[in-house]
Amino acid sequence: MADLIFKGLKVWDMSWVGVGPLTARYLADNGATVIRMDSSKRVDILRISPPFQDGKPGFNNSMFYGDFNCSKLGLGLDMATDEAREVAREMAQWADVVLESFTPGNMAKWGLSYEDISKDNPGVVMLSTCMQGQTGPRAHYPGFGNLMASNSGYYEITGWADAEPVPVYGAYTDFIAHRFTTTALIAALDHKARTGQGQYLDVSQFEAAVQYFGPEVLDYTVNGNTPTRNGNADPIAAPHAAYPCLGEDRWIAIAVETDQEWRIFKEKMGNPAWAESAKFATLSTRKENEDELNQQVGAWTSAWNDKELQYFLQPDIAAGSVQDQFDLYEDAQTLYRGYFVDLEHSEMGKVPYNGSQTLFSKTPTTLSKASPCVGEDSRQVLKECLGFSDQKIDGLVASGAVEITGPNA
Amino acid sequence: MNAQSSDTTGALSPYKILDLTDHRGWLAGKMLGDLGATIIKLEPVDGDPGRHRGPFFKDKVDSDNSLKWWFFNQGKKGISLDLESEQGKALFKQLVADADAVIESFEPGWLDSIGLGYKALEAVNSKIVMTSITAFGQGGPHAGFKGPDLILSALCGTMYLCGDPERPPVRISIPQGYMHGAAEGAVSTTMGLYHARSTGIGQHADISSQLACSRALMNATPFPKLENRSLQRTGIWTESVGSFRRVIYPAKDGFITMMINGGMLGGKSIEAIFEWAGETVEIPEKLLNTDWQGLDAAAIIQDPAKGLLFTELSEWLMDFYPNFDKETIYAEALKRRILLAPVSTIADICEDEQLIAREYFVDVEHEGNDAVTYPGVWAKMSETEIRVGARAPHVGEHNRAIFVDEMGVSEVEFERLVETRII
Repeated sequence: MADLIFKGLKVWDMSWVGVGPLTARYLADNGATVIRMDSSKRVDILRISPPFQDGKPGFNNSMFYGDFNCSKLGLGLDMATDEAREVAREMAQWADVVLESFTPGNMAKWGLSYEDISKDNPGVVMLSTCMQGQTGPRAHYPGFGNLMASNSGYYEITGWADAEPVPVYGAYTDFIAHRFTTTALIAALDHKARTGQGQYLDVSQFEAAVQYFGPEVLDYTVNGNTPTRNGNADPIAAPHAAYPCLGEDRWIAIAVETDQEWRIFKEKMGNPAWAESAKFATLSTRKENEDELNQQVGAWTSAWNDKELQYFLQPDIAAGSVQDQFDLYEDAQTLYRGYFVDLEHSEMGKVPYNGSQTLFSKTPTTLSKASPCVGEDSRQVLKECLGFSDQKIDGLVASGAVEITGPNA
Repeated sequence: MNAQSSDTTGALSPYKILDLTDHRGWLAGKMLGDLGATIIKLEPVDGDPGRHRGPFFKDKVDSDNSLKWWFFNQGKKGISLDLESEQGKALFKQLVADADAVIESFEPGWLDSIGLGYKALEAVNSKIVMTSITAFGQGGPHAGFKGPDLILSALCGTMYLCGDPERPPVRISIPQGYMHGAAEGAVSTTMGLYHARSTGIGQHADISSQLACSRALMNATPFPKLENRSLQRTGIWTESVGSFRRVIYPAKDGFITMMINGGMLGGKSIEAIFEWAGETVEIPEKLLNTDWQGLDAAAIIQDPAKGLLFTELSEWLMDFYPNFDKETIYAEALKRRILLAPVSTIADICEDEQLIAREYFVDVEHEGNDAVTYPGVWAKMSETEIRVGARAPHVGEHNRAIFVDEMGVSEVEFERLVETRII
């Protein structure tokens, strides 16, 4: 087996919340040494957000934070102190990669702009990511991915045609932007490996999120069309909806895309008389009578268990249970791919992490350790990365510049 | 690595990537092409089936007019090749020998069945990185399942958490599933290239679009194991320690999104709204006199009745916001640092001052037509170019350039390949 892809790569992860930490996680899970900055004075908002082990809030008890920060070592720094800023600057000299996601201007204030860092570390690759980019009239407007999902068009196109838009769950655009940041960052690392040249990357989460809407932007600029929400309907498929099944809030999604599939689907339903009506003979008539179609199909599905129906219809007809979070742990395909990975966290005990969405044939992604408590690895990091003595570290801890919590405190 | 020099200086400019995907995987090659890689898009001789997906230029349905094709295939070179013919396979292997990566989105097993699976390509070029973007991955009990966007939304878990709780769950109306899978494909291809460059070892990257979508569940997946519960959809409302607040509010010309919270950050936003509103309307004393900064989760846990204040505030905002249009509300929010956002339409996005200030939109030339405005570069890189590609290719547009000029196929042979519909 080959070494992991980023073995030997040194990453100073000063980012927080979503996009930055997830970007660094790609590197960490594939072999890089990633040091994550943390502080309980200016705590990452994810550390105070659920889920918490046994439902008990606590900085070291949140798997919202945990899931975004496995395979990393934690260094606790109180950046309000001069000594901590000096440590952060030394870490930036140690690193091949520096990530940050503060409001623009924050890093410069600490003497940690790209210009500052690259003066003595010219090969550094530095990535800044924020809501709307480092420049422009809204560069300094704070926000989070839920608002950005609204801002970049996702809420407008979600919900029912006869009702207001609805929010997509969570900070949706974070989970678009993090793959753009990671792709650009690895490309920059590749360039550096070939040429020795480092560089600075500015990724606006807004700009990344609108990439998914490229065709819709063109449709507006050339045709003047603006899409809106339309429930679960699709212009080229019917039936195409979520239908009720046995049990509380249980549903199955079914998509019938061709007339041939419609014939098979009718057979699966036992060729009921209603389905033979001319109203449902072709895609265009099924679209015209879609409400009635959905009612009839729903009457049939409601006598079924959603999982049993999924396996009854697949692989002939596209069908899938509308899975809740419990279901994901029992999904046969998710299990086959070994997606969820249990790791032993210092305070939470055994907890499940989302694994890799890609299976590499020769360098399998490896979640090397559970996420750190705030500053859990401060001593080890300062010794190994910066060569600090125990006495020096004790002094920094005593003054409050460096923080250690968890089992090593 | 392909040694040929390139006219761009993108971070990935030394690399040559063969893109065999249909609409499910196009985005991967586009992202890598934007970063400078040479992307050769292979289509069947009759054209990529994704060319028939709308929207279309001037709403005219035509395989050269798909705006989806245009956007996701800009900057790519287009060749056509019948992969099922013996000669087609031989030509493809010749291409693979000189390429760095192959990206594909066929049904699992299909390339193997025609003798062009990873093992066959590895035998031709041990450094090749092959990225497969499918619904559920290459193996496993669901690998052969049909997985259009709606089904991915259901199985990945995001649909369950989206929509009005009184009605069926909904997907996002514009398909997202394969976008996440393709973006994951871009990440994994760059990783594979980075590794192959230094070690000489290529590999196969097998992507599950279902799981790429599950990542958007954010914090939801650990709930069953940590708190023994599953989150539910809450529609236009959000719940915090038992108190419900609206997230979506009507404006004069559409909607805005605001998540009202107490505590320091949320409280400041609420105070700023009152300061603004106080200029024109009466604010109920009860709301005005509430210490919103002090009303964090802990305070509500102590006194659950106080949570109702947020519901009352929501109701008052329902009357306040419709006095203004989205643009005015957002402008005031920026000025006063109120955390909210417009529910933007695509039209709003195309006219957005921040995107325009950062020169996000660019014009791409199309022969015979006026230039068309595209979303442009999605990252700013200080030393390497991120490019805006030329318009997407016609079917087989670069056949001569690739087969004759680069691979040395003779003119006579080239004509024969065209006649026999190998290319």
